[in-house]
Amino acid sequence: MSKKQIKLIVNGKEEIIEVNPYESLLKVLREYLGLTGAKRGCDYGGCGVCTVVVNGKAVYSCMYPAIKAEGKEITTVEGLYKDGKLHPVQKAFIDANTVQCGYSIPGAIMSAYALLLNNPNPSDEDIKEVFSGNLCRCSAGYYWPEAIKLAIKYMKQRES
Amino acid sequence: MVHYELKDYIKPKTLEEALKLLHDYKGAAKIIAGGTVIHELSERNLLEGVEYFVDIENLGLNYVRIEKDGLHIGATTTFNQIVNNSLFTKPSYYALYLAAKGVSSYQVRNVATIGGSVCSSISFLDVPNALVALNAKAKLVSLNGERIENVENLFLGMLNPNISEDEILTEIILPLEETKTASYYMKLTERAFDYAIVSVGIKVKLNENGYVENIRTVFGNVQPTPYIENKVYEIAKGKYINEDLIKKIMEEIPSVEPIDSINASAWYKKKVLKVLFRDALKETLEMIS
Repeated sequence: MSKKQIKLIVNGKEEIIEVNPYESLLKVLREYLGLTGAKRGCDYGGCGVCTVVVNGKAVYSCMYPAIKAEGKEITTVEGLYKDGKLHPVQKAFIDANTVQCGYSIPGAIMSAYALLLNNPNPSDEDIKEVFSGNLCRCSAGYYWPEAIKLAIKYMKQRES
Repeated sequence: MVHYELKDYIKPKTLEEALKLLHDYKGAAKIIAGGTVIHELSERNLLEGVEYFVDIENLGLNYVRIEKDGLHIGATTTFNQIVNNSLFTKPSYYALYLAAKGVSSYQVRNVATIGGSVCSSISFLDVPNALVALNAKAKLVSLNGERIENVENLFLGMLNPNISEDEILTEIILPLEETKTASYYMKLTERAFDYAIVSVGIKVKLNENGYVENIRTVFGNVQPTPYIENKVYEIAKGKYINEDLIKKIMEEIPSVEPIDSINASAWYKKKVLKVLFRDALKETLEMIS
Protein backbone atom coordinates (compact mmCIF):
# COMPACT_ATOMS: atom_id res chain seq x y z
CA MET A 1 0.00 0.00 0.00
CA SER A 2 1.49 3.27 -1.05
CA LYS A 3 0.65 6.59 0.47
CA LYS A 4 -0.56 9.39 -1.74
CA GLN A 5 0.23 13.03 -1.39
CA ILE A 6 -2.83 15.23 -1.62
CA LYS A 7 -3.66 18.89 -1.22
CA LEU A 8 -6.65 19.84 0.88
CA ILE A 9 -8.03 23.30 1.52
CA VAL A 10 -9.16 23.20 5.12
CA ASN A 11 -10.77 26.31 6.61
CA GLY A 12 -9.17 28.40 3.87
CA LYS A 13 -5.68 27.06 4.49
CA GLU A 14 -3.81 24.81 2.07
CA GLU A 15 -2.60 21.57 3.64
CA ILE A 16 -0.37 19.05 1.90
CA ILE A 17 -0.51 15.61 3.50
CA GLU A 18 0.19 11.97 2.78
CA VAL A 19 -2.78 9.65 3.13
CA ASN A 20 -3.53 6.00 2.58
CA PRO A 21 -5.72 5.41 -0.49
CA TYR A 22 -8.86 4.66 1.52
CA GLU A 23 -8.62 6.87 4.54
CA SER A 24 -11.55 8.91 5.74
CA LEU A 25 -11.58 12.66 5.73
CA LEU A 26 -12.48 12.44 9.43
CA LYS A 27 -9.29 10.58 10.26
CA VAL A 28 -7.20 13.01 8.28
CA LEU A 29 -8.80 16.03 9.95
CA ARG A 30 -8.51 14.64 13.46
CA GLU A 31 -5.27 12.69 13.43
CA TYR A 32 -3.12 14.39 10.78
CA LEU A 33 -4.32 17.97 11.08
CA GLY A 34 -5.28 18.03 14.75
CA LEU A 35 -8.75 19.40 14.04
CA THR A 36 -10.75 17.49 16.62
CA GLY A 37 -13.96 19.51 16.30
CA ALA A 38 -15.52 16.87 14.07
CA LYS A 39 -16.11 13.85 16.31
CA ARG A 40 -15.94 10.16 15.70
CA GLY A 41 -19.26 8.61 16.68
CA CYS A 42 -20.77 5.64 14.90
CA ASP A 43 -18.18 5.81 12.07
CA TYR A 44 -20.96 4.46 9.93
CA GLY A 45 -22.78 7.42 8.43
CA GLY A 46 -25.63 7.53 10.88
CA CYS A 47 -25.09 9.82 13.85
CA GLY A 48 -23.83 13.04 12.27
CA VAL A 49 -21.19 14.05 14.83
CA CYS A 50 -18.53 13.94 12.09
CA THR A 51 -20.40 16.38 9.81
CA VAL A 52 -18.18 18.85 7.96
CA VAL A 53 -18.89 21.05 4.95
CA VAL A 54 -17.27 20.17 1.62
CA ASN A 55 -17.79 22.65 -1.22
CA GLY A 56 -20.78 24.11 0.58
CA LYS A 57 -22.50 20.80 1.30
CA ALA A 58 -22.78 19.00 4.63
CA VAL A 59 -21.27 15.50 4.45
CA TYR A 60 -20.37 12.74 6.86
CA SER A 61 -16.57 12.92 7.00
CA CYS A 62 -16.38 9.37 8.43
CA MET A 63 -17.48 7.93 5.10
CA TYR A 64 -15.96 10.53 2.81
CA PRO A 65 -12.62 9.37 1.38
CA ALA A 66 -9.93 11.99 1.97
CA ILE A 67 -8.72 11.64 -1.61
CA LYS A 68 -12.21 12.51 -2.83
CA ALA A 69 -11.88 15.81 -0.98
CA GLU A 70 -8.70 16.76 -2.84
CA GLY A 71 -8.85 20.31 -4.15
CA LYS A 72 -12.21 20.94 -2.53
CA GLU A 73 -12.96 23.53 0.15
CA ILE A 74 -13.46 21.92 3.52
CA THR A 75 -14.91 23.77 6.46
CA THR A 76 -14.88 22.35 9.97
CA VAL A 77 -16.32 23.90 13.10
CA GLU A 78 -12.88 25.37 13.84
CA GLY A 79 -13.14 27.39 10.65
CA LEU A 80 -16.24 29.26 11.79
CA TYR A 81 -14.47 31.09 14.62
CA LYS A 82 -12.73 34.05 13.03
CA ASP A 83 -10.84 37.09 14.37
CA GLY A 84 -11.70 36.21 17.93
CA LYS A 85 -15.40 36.15 17.15
CA LEU A 86 -17.90 33.33 17.11
CA HIS A 87 -19.87 32.75 13.95
CA PRO A 88 -23.56 33.77 14.30
CA VAL A 89 -24.54 30.09 14.07
CA GLN A 90 -22.18 29.22 16.94
CA LYS A 91 -23.48 32.10 19.05
CA ALA A 92 -27.06 31.10 18.32
CA PHE A 93 -26.42 27.51 19.42
CA ILE A 94 -25.04 28.78 22.71
CA ASP A 95 -27.83 31.30 23.29
CA ALA A 96 -30.57 28.79 22.45
CA ASN A 97 -29.30 26.45 25.18
CA THR A 98 -28.60 23.63 22.77
CA VAL A 99 -25.60 22.32 24.64
CA GLN A 100 -25.77 19.65 27.30
CA CYS A 101 -23.05 17.05 26.79
CA GLY A 102 -21.92 18.85 23.65
CA TYR A 103 -20.75 15.86 21.66
CA SER A 104 -23.20 16.28 18.81
CA ILE A 105 -22.91 20.05 18.66
CA PRO A 106 -20.03 20.51 16.18
CA GLY A 107 -21.86 18.30 13.68
CA ALA A 108 -25.19 20.02 14.24
CA ILE A 109 -23.58 23.45 13.87
CA MET A 110 -22.01 22.42 10.57
CA SER A 111 -25.37 21.13 9.28
CA ALA A 112 -26.99 24.41 10.29
CA TYR A 113 -24.15 26.41 8.74
CA ALA A 114 -24.48 24.52 5.42
CA LEU A 115 -28.23 25.05 5.38
CA LEU A 116 -27.93 28.82 5.82
CA LEU A 117 -25.12 28.96 3.28
CA ASN A 118 -27.41 27.51 0.61
CA ASN A 119 -30.73 28.85 1.83
CA PRO A 120 -30.66 32.00 4.01
CA ASN A 121 -34.44 31.85 4.60
CA PRO A 122 -35.30 28.22 5.27
CA SER A 123 -38.86 27.09 5.98
CA ASP A 124 -39.71 25.15 9.16
CA GLU A 125 -39.79 22.01 7.05
CA ASP A 126 -36.27 22.74 5.65
CA ILE A 127 -34.97 23.22 9.18
CA LYS A 128 -36.41 19.94 10.40
CA GLU A 129 -35.14 18.20 7.32
CA VAL A 130 -31.55 19.37 7.63
CA PHE A 131 -31.16 17.78 11.05
CA SER A 132 -32.41 14.42 9.77
CA GLY A 133 -28.80 13.27 9.83
CA ASN A 134 -27.75 14.55 13.25
CA LEU A 135 -28.63 12.63 16.37
CA CYS A 136 -28.69 14.02 19.89
CA ARG A 137 -29.22 11.69 22.80
CA CYS A 138 -29.41 14.20 25.63
CA SER A 139 -32.51 16.20 24.69
CA ALA A 140 -30.76 19.48 23.91
CA GLY A 141 -31.25 18.69 20.22
CA TYR A 142 -34.83 19.76 20.72
CA TYR A 143 -33.63 23.36 20.58
CA TRP A 144 -31.59 23.12 17.37
CA PRO A 145 -34.40 24.45 15.12
CA GLU A 146 -34.77 27.39 17.48
CA ALA A 147 -31.02 28.00 17.24
CA ILE A 148 -31.28 28.23 13.45
CA LYS A 149 -33.99 30.86 13.72
CA LEU A 150 -31.83 32.79 16.16
CA ALA A 151 -28.83 32.45 13.83
CA ILE A 152 -30.85 33.96 10.98
CA LYS A 153 -31.66 36.90 13.24
CA TYR A 154 -27.99 37.34 14.20
CA MET A 155 -26.88 37.17 10.59
CA LYS A 156 -29.37 39.86 9.57
CA GLN A 157 -28.18 42.04 12.46
CA ARG A 158 -24.60 41.57 11.32
CA GLU A 159 -25.45 42.66 7.78
CA SER A 160 -27.34 45.78 8.82
CA MET B 1 -12.89 3.14 6.94
CA VAL B 2 -9.82 2.17 8.93
CA HIS B 3 -9.62 -1.55 8.25
CA TYR B 4 -9.63 -1.57 4.51
CA GLU B 5 -6.39 -1.37 2.56
CA LEU B 6 -6.18 -0.38 -1.07
CA LYS B 7 -3.29 -0.20 -3.51
CA ASP B 8 -4.58 2.97 -5.09
CA TYR B 9 -7.50 5.34 -5.30
CA ILE B 10 -7.69 6.74 -8.81
CA LYS B 11 -9.68 9.72 -10.04
CA PRO B 12 -9.76 9.54 -13.86
CA LYS B 13 -10.76 12.65 -15.78
CA THR B 14 -12.45 11.03 -18.77
CA LEU B 15 -14.81 8.13 -19.32
CA GLU B 16 -12.31 6.47 -21.66
CA GLU B 17 -9.61 6.62 -19.02
CA ALA B 18 -11.96 5.10 -16.44
CA LEU B 19 -13.05 2.30 -18.78
CA LYS B 20 -9.44 1.49 -19.56
CA LEU B 21 -8.61 1.25 -15.84
CA LEU B 22 -11.53 -1.12 -15.27
CA HIS B 23 -10.45 -3.19 -18.24
CA ASP B 24 -6.79 -3.34 -17.21
CA TYR B 25 -7.43 -4.15 -13.54
CA LYS B 26 -10.35 -6.47 -14.31
CA GLY B 27 -11.88 -7.68 -11.03
CA ALA B 28 -9.37 -5.88 -8.84
CA ALA B 29 -10.93 -2.47 -9.48
CA LYS B 30 -14.22 -1.21 -8.11
CA ILE B 31 -16.09 1.92 -9.08
CA ILE B 32 -16.74 4.44 -6.34
CA ALA B 33 -19.17 7.33 -6.75
CA GLY B 34 -20.66 8.79 -3.54
CA GLY B 35 -18.87 6.16 -1.48
CA THR B 36 -21.71 5.45 0.95
CA VAL B 37 -22.39 1.84 -0.02
CA ILE B 38 -18.66 1.21 -0.48
CA HIS B 39 -18.18 2.33 3.12
CA GLU B 40 -20.74 -0.20 4.35
CA LEU B 41 -19.16 -2.94 2.25
CA SER B 42 -15.68 -2.20 3.59
CA GLU B 43 -16.94 -2.20 7.18
CA ARG B 44 -18.46 -5.60 6.60
CA ASN B 45 -15.33 -7.00 4.91
CA LEU B 46 -17.16 -7.49 1.63
CA LEU B 47 -14.51 -5.99 -0.61
CA GLU B 48 -12.21 -8.97 -0.78
CA GLY B 49 -9.98 -8.92 -3.85
CA VAL B 50 -10.57 -5.25 -4.56
CA GLU B 51 -7.26 -3.39 -4.83
CA TYR B 52 -8.20 -0.20 -6.65
CA PHE B 53 -11.03 2.26 -6.45
CA VAL B 54 -11.91 4.16 -9.59
CA ASP B 55 -13.71 7.36 -8.59
CA ILE B 56 -16.10 8.44 -11.36
CA GLU B 57 -16.92 11.84 -9.88
CA ASN B 58 -14.99 13.82 -12.51
CA LEU B 59 -16.36 12.15 -15.64
CA GLY B 60 -19.04 14.77 -16.27
CA LEU B 61 -21.86 12.40 -15.40
CA ASN B 62 -23.65 14.89 -13.19
CA TYR B 63 -26.64 16.23 -15.18
CA VAL B 64 -30.38 16.11 -15.69
CA ARG B 65 -31.63 16.92 -19.18
CA ILE B 66 -34.69 16.35 -21.30
CA GLU B 67 -33.97 14.84 -24.69
CA LYS B 68 -36.21 13.50 -27.45
CA ASP B 69 -36.22 9.96 -26.11
CA GLY B 70 -36.62 10.73 -22.43
CA LEU B 71 -35.32 12.38 -19.31
CA HIS B 72 -31.61 11.63 -18.92
CA ILE B 73 -30.08 11.61 -15.44
CA GLY B 74 -26.30 11.30 -15.20
CA ALA B 75 -25.06 8.46 -12.98
CA THR B 76 -23.33 10.66 -10.42
CA THR B 77 -26.33 12.93 -9.89
CA THR B 78 -26.91 12.99 -6.12
CA PHE B 79 -30.20 12.35 -4.35
CA ASN B 80 -30.36 15.94 -3.12
CA GLN B 81 -29.87 17.21 -6.67
CA ILE B 82 -32.94 15.17 -7.61
CA VAL B 83 -34.91 16.42 -4.62
CA ASN B 84 -34.02 20.04 -5.41
CA ASN B 85 -34.90 19.79 -9.11
CA SER B 86 -38.52 20.81 -9.69
CA LEU B 87 -38.75 18.43 -12.67
CA PHE B 88 -39.07 15.52 -10.28
CA THR B 89 -42.06 16.93 -8.43
CA LYS B 90 -44.11 16.43 -11.60
CA PRO B 91 -46.61 13.55 -11.22
CA SER B 92 -44.86 11.36 -13.81
CA TYR B 93 -41.62 11.39 -11.81
CA TYR B 94 -42.91 11.95 -8.29
CA ALA B 95 -42.07 8.40 -7.18
CA LEU B 96 -38.38 9.10 -7.76
CA TYR B 97 -38.61 12.39 -5.87
CA LEU B 98 -40.17 10.65 -2.86
CA ALA B 99 -37.71 7.77 -2.97
CA ALA B 100 -34.70 10.11 -3.10
CA LYS B 101 -36.10 12.39 -0.38
CA GLY B 102 -36.83 9.45 1.88
CA VAL B 103 -33.25 8.20 1.89
CA SER B 104 -31.53 8.14 5.25
CA SER B 105 -30.21 11.57 6.12
CA TYR B 106 -29.43 14.89 4.52
CA GLN B 107 -25.68 14.28 4.57
CA VAL B 108 -26.02 10.95 2.77
CA ARG B 109 -28.29 12.51 0.15
CA ASN B 110 -25.59 15.11 -0.53
CA VAL B 111 -23.19 12.43 -1.75
CA ALA B 112 -25.14 9.24 -2.61
CA THR B 113 -25.78 8.91 -6.36
CA ILE B 114 -28.54 7.52 -8.52
CA GLY B 115 -26.11 5.30 -10.43
CA GLY B 116 -24.53 3.98 -7.26
CA SER B 117 -27.85 2.96 -5.79
CA VAL B 118 -28.68 0.90 -8.87
CA CYS B 119 -25.24 -0.70 -9.17
CA SER B 120 -25.29 -1.80 -5.51
CA SER B 121 -28.20 -4.17 -6.18
CA ILE B 122 -29.56 -3.99 -2.63
CA SER B 123 -33.23 -4.93 -2.28
CA PHE B 124 -34.16 -2.39 0.38
CA LEU B 125 -32.71 0.72 -1.28
CA ASP B 126 -35.48 3.10 -2.34
CA VAL B 127 -34.26 4.73 -5.52
CA PRO B 128 -33.80 1.50 -7.57
CA ASN B 129 -37.32 0.32 -6.70
CA ALA B 130 -38.79 3.69 -7.70
CA LEU B 131 -36.84 3.61 -10.97
CA VAL B 132 -38.23 0.19 -11.83
CA ALA B 133 -41.76 1.48 -11.12
CA LEU B 134 -41.09 4.37 -13.51
CA ASN B 135 -39.95 2.05 -16.31
CA ALA B 136 -36.45 3.47 -16.26
CA LYS B 137 -33.66 2.31 -18.51
CA ALA B 138 -29.93 2.46 -17.87
CA LYS B 139 -27.04 3.04 -20.23
CA LEU B 140 -23.97 0.91 -19.60
CA VAL B 141 -20.70 1.55 -21.35
CA SER B 142 -17.54 -0.53 -21.71
CA LEU B 143 -14.57 -0.52 -24.07
CA ASN B 144 -16.54 -2.97 -26.22
CA GLY B 145 -19.47 -0.61 -26.72
CA GLU B 146 -22.66 0.27 -24.94
CA ARG B 147 -25.99 -1.29 -24.08
CA ILE B 148 -29.30 0.06 -22.88
CA GLU B 149 -31.12 -2.13 -20.36
CA ASN B 150 -34.36 -1.89 -18.45
CA VAL B 151 -33.33 -1.16 -14.88
CA GLU B 152 -35.20 -4.25 -13.57
CA ASN B 153 -32.83 -6.44 -15.60
CA LEU B 154 -29.79 -5.13 -13.76
CA PHE B 155 -30.39 -7.09 -10.56
CA LEU B 156 -29.48 -10.75 -10.18
CA GLY B 157 -29.63 -10.86 -6.40
CA MET B 158 -28.47 -9.14 -3.25
CA LEU B 159 -25.18 -7.29 -3.95
CA ASN B 160 -25.09 -9.02 -7.30
CA PRO B 161 -25.78 -6.61 -10.16
CA ASN B 162 -26.05 -7.76 -13.74
CA ILE B 163 -23.21 -5.44 -14.66
CA SER B 164 -19.82 -6.73 -15.72
CA GLU B 165 -16.60 -5.65 -14.08
CA ASP B 166 -15.49 -3.51 -17.01
CA GLU B 167 -18.78 -1.65 -17.44
CA ILE B 168 -19.81 1.76 -16.14
CA LEU B 169 -23.44 2.77 -15.73
CA THR B 170 -23.36 6.26 -17.22
CA GLU B 171 -26.97 7.36 -17.10
CA ILE B 172 -30.55 6.56 -16.23
CA ILE B 173 -33.22 7.32 -18.80
CA LEU B 174 -36.82 7.91 -17.74
CA PRO B 175 -39.73 7.99 -20.19
CA LEU B 176 -40.92 11.48 -21.20
CA GLU B 177 -43.65 13.04 -19.11
CA GLU B 178 -47.08 11.57 -19.88
CA THR B 179 -50.57 13.01 -19.53
CA LYS B 180 -53.09 11.53 -17.08
CA THR B 181 -50.17 9.86 -15.35
CA ALA B 182 -48.87 9.94 -11.81
CA SER B 183 -46.46 7.98 -9.67
CA TYR B 184 -45.86 7.49 -5.98
CA TYR B 185 -43.42 5.78 -3.64
CA MET B 186 -44.16 4.74 -0.10
CA LYS B 187 -42.09 2.80 2.37
CA LEU B 188 -42.50 1.40 5.82
CA THR B 189 -39.62 1.92 8.23
CA GLU B 190 -39.08 1.51 11.94
CA ARG B 191 -37.65 5.02 12.30
CA ALA B 192 -37.58 7.78 9.70
CA PHE B 193 -33.92 7.25 8.75
CA ASP B 194 -34.03 3.44 8.56
CA TYR B 195 -33.96 1.31 5.45
CA ALA B 196 -37.32 0.14 4.14
CA ILE B 197 -38.94 -2.93 5.70
CA VAL B 198 -41.05 -3.04 2.56
CA SER B 199 -41.83 -0.41 -0.04
CA VAL B 200 -44.25 0.17 -2.90
CA GLY B 201 -43.60 2.11 -6.10
CA ILE B 202 -46.55 2.80 -8.40
CA LYS B 203 -47.06 4.47 -11.74
CA VAL B 204 -50.60 4.80 -13.06
CA LYS B 205 -51.78 6.01 -16.46
CA LEU B 206 -55.49 6.54 -17.03
CA ASN B 207 -57.20 7.01 -20.38
CA GLU B 208 -59.33 10.02 -21.31
CA ASN B 209 -62.37 8.50 -19.62
CA GLY B 210 -60.56 7.78 -16.38
CA TYR B 211 -60.16 4.05 -16.89
CA VAL B 212 -56.86 2.29 -16.27
CA GLU B 213 -54.59 2.26 -19.28
CA ASN B 214 -51.55 1.07 -17.39
CA ILE B 215 -50.43 0.39 -13.85
CA ARG B 216 -46.93 -0.62 -12.90
CA THR B 217 -46.40 -1.73 -9.33
CA VAL B 218 -43.10 -2.60 -7.73
CA PHE B 219 -42.54 -4.06 -4.28
CA GLY B 220 -39.21 -3.40 -2.59
CA ASN B 221 -37.51 -5.80 -0.16
CA VAL B 222 -40.13 -8.48 -0.85
CA GLN B 223 -37.71 -10.44 -3.01
CA PRO B 224 -33.91 -10.07 -3.21
CA THR B 225 -34.52 -7.92 -6.32
CA PRO B 226 -37.32 -5.40 -7.10
CA TYR B 227 -40.53 -7.39 -7.55
CA ILE B 228 -42.87 -6.25 -10.32
CA GLU B 229 -46.40 -7.13 -9.22
CA ASN B 230 -48.20 -7.86 -12.50
CA LYS B 231 -51.35 -8.96 -10.67
CA VAL B 232 -52.36 -5.34 -10.16
CA TYR B 233 -52.42 -4.58 -13.86
CA GLU B 234 -54.17 -7.86 -14.66
CA ILE B 235 -57.02 -7.01 -12.32
CA ALA B 236 -57.30 -3.28 -12.96
CA LYS B 237 -56.69 -3.15 -16.70
CA GLY B 238 -59.44 -1.17 -18.49
CA LYS B 239 -61.36 -0.69 -15.25
CA TYR B 240 -62.32 2.27 -13.16
CA ILE B 241 -60.56 2.18 -9.79
CA ASN B 242 -63.01 2.30 -6.88
CA GLU B 243 -62.99 0.93 -3.34
CA ASP B 244 -64.29 -2.47 -4.46
CA LEU B 245 -61.57 -2.89 -7.02
CA ILE B 246 -58.88 -1.85 -4.54
CA LYS B 247 -60.22 -4.43 -2.06
CA LYS B 248 -60.14 -7.09 -4.75
CA ILE B 249 -56.52 -6.25 -5.59
CA MET B 250 -55.59 -6.28 -1.91
CA GLU B 251 -56.88 -9.82 -1.61
CA GLU B 252 -54.71 -10.99 -4.49
CA ILE B 253 -51.38 -9.36 -3.59
CA PRO B 254 -48.58 -10.06 -3.10
CA SER B 255 -48.48 -12.83 -5.65
CA VAL B 256 -45.18 -14.01 -4.23
CA GLU B 257 -44.10 -15.17 -0.78
CA PRO B 258 -41.98 -12.35 0.71
CA ILE B 259 -38.53 -13.01 2.10
CA ASP B 260 -38.00 -12.73 5.85
CA SER B 261 -35.79 -9.86 6.99
CA ILE B 262 -34.19 -9.03 10.32
CA ASN B 263 -36.79 -6.34 10.90
CA ALA B 264 -39.94 -8.15 9.73
CA SER B 265 -41.22 -11.64 9.02
CA ALA B 266 -42.66 -12.71 5.69
CA TRP B 267 -46.06 -13.01 7.38
CA TYR B 268 -45.95 -9.40 8.54
CA LYS B 269 -44.67 -8.11 5.21
CA LYS B 270 -47.51 -9.81 3.40
CA LYS B 271 -50.13 -8.10 5.55
CA VAL B 272 -48.55 -4.68 5.57
CA LEU B 273 -47.88 -4.62 1.81
CA LYS B 274 -51.60 -4.68 1.09
CA VAL B 275 -52.18 -1.59 3.18
CA LEU B 276 -49.10 0.17 1.85
CA PHE B 277 -50.24 -0.55 -1.69
CA ARG B 278 -53.74 0.79 -1.00
CA ASP B 279 -52.41 4.03 0.46
CA ALA B 280 -49.85 4.54 -2.29
CA LEU B 281 -52.46 3.90 -4.99
CA LYS B 282 -54.86 6.41 -3.47
CA GLU B 283 -52.12 9.05 -3.32
CA THR B 284 -51.27 8.35 -6.96
CA LEU B 285 -54.87 8.68 -8.13
CA GLU B 286 -55.31 11.89 -6.22
CA MET B 287 -52.47 13.41 -8.22
CA ILE B 288 -54.13 12.57 -11.54
CA SER B 289 -57.56 14.01 -10.78
